[in-house]
Amino acid sequence: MEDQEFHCAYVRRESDQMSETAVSNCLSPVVPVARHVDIFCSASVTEQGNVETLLIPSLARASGGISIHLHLVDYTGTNRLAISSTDEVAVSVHQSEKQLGFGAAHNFLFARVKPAAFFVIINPDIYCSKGLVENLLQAGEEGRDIGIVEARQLPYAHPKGYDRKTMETTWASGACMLVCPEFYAEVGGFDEAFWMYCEDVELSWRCWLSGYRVIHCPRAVAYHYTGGYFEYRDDRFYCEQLWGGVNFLYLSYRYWGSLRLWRSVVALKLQGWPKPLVKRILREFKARKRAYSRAAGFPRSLSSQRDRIGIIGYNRYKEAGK
Amino acid sequence: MTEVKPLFKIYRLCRDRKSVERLEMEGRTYGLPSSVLITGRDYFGFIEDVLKNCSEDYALLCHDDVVVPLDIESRVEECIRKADMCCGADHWGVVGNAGIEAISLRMVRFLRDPHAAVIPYKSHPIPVVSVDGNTMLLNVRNMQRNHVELPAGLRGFHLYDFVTAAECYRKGLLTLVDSTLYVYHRSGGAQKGFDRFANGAEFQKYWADNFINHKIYTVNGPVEVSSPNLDYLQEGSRDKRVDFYATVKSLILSIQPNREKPVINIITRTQLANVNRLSRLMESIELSQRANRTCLDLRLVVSVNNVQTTDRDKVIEGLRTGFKDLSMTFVEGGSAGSMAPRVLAIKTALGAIPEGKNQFVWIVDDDDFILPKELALLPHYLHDDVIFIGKSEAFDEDWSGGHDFPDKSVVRSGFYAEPSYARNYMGENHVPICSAIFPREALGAVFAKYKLAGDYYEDYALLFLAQTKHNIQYLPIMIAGVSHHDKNTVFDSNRTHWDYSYATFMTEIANAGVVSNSMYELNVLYEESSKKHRSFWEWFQLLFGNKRELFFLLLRLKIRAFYATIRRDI
Repeated sequence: MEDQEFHCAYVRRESDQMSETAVSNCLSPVVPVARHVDIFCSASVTEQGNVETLLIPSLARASGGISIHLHLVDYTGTNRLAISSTDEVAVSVHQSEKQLGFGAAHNFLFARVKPAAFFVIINPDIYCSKGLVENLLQAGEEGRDIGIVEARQLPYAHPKGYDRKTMETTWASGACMLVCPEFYAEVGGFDEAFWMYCEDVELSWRCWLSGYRVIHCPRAVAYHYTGGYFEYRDDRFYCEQLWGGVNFLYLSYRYWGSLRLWRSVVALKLQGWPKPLVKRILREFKARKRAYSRAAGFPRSLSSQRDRIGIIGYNRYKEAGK
Repeated sequence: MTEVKPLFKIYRLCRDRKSVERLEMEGRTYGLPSSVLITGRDYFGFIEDVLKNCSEDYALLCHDDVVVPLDIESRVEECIRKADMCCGADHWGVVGNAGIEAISLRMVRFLRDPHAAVIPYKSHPIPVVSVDGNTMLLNVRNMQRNHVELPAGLRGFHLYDFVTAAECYRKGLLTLVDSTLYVYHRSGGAQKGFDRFANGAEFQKYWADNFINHKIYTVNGPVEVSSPNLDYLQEGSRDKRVDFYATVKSLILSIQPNREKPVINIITRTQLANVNRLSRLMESIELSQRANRTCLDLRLVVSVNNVQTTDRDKVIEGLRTGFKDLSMTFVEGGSAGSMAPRVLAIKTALGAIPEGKNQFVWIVDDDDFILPKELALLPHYLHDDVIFIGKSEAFDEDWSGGHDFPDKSVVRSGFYAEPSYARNYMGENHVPICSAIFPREALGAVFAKYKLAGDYYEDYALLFLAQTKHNIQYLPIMIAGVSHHDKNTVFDSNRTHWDYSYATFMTEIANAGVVSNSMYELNVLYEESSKKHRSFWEWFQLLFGNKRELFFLLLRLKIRAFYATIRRDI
């Protein structure tokens, strides 16, 4: 198939450790090997303006000559999103019959598109700096065991560290990440129970547990003017507060069971949020917990990744390089 | 051709016949325009009647204890003209004289009442989320056309003003306040009655049925709504409720002011020593222009001074090629003469900016950057006679790697205190230069009049001198990021040059007669009053004395109760 030929095969190396070249490539650009990349984005009609005026033009600049195919899905299930291709960026809008959470939307796109090479997951409110895509690809193609490459977010950098020597990071933000399709298929993609928020942390942890690595690429810069710094007020509740809370408890319970959950509930309550919101979070979590108990057990062999997988505070997780 | 005067009528709801008679007599005595005096109705019903029966385009609604100025007619006409100019004749529903400003959620008042006697300034119409009902100019024509109706279930004398504003917003009409409607209001309102009404079942139900917010900002103070149905809004859901404050903001954004797109000329001074940081600034401007092209025109003027590279032309050419979509002008600083290079660089750049209306100047240092997200709000708040101050965020950055991006970038939220800009008059500087956007004419006037022989603190001197001629409007709109890194002169440990600069600027300001003696006296009064501030521990001891055992017992009980709730929850 012509499309398949257009995709580039992975360049795999035998070494498990990231080479010196790889480290330097994270900091300075070199010509990437892949010539095509699929980019997944879950958006709604309210974000259409952002996608058209910021994301797509910036992707054209960020490609470094790589052919880009942007795959969008309207996560609301209303299918009102209508965006056309440009000269530089091919755009496909995929129709979904139901409302999808963040993880479900990307699993849906993965099943539809079946990317043969590294693909990118990106938020609709991202503006890519020059060379973002090629830098991500370059970093991803340097090691055979790389599952996820996280782009760097500016100006509000994610408040977590990374190892300056190996570039490893404990978890990657789903706002902009490059993902290895083999790894994604192997672990079954995002856990759809999360709906929204923290599913990227959980995917990263499964990446480590499956023998792949998560690395940070500071050279690949994604400008992300996230709502938390601009729009949030204290006169209403936001999805991020609700689902962030529910998923934090779910993550605690799923990986460590009731003991850790107890501490996480304390951490939640110490946030000082309004009682109705805390009650709602606990109610949603209880429903999730009941559903989860029937589905699967706790993950095993956590001890091998003790340094990378852990909770250090409310929605704060263990960090590399600290 | 004679100008057609707008048609409006004054309506006053009176508490009894006695008030009606008093107002009739006062109207005759002072030659006030004839008013429709109504009694025996609640305020919701009163507004409904006006909306239903008023045949004029506008209606001025006043309490019976409001004293209007003798020239109220011309003030109302001026108010209508200003509101039409501000947002277009079809887009406003109500103008009042006090309310809660829509972006900062702070009170603005243009009246005297028992609560405050502050003498206000001349304003431009200010969008508000909530208005004080003592005086409301209704745009009856727009409200009728947009089918604004008050909810049937609400009756009484409280929150009718807030509900009117909320219903206007729901139907796409702005609510404003303006200094033209200044009055003397003899009553301070009935807070107990207000609290009862706000916490009553009818109002709480009205709110929870229509909006998702659990806090309402009103001129009588915030109201908490405690409905179990309050929720976040899920994208794509069939929920018809809205986020009230987001509705207000998006309406403001959707309305283009009735004038040309403002042109913001960004001046940056550079020695071309750190092209990576300069490129970052340019990228942020390019992105901001792309995101806001329909409402703003951003242009960059690069003032090159004391060049630190031998490849000057090559660097400039590289920047021009790299940012092709950006309107960019390079100017040379020239000889400093008696003027320090930092000041001269601004003056030189100013020469490249056309004079005239709708031209603004934004000075951003070459290691800082602008933030695009909220810039679309600016056209509503940039005026030729107002210095706009927005918010800036400080970032701790590490550029030691020499890359195009900082190796570390950590936000220092709340580092700057722009709301305290008025303390400029007390010698305190809370405003970074990139937080201020000046009308071109304001900066030009400062350079024309003053020598400005200092160097550092030039931002403080410019803002101070400009604000003695122009009003400042501060709003918490995030507009710029300030880089804190090892090369920042702000963090110089040796302050000698800073101090000489300060002394030079301040001597000129003191001897130029820009600060009046009354302003000086106000400063002294402020300093004396601020010394009376009590610390937290002084307050604690005043309230509790030394009863530490009691305090710890209460704390232990609280902790025990807290853990009991967790046990129950999981």
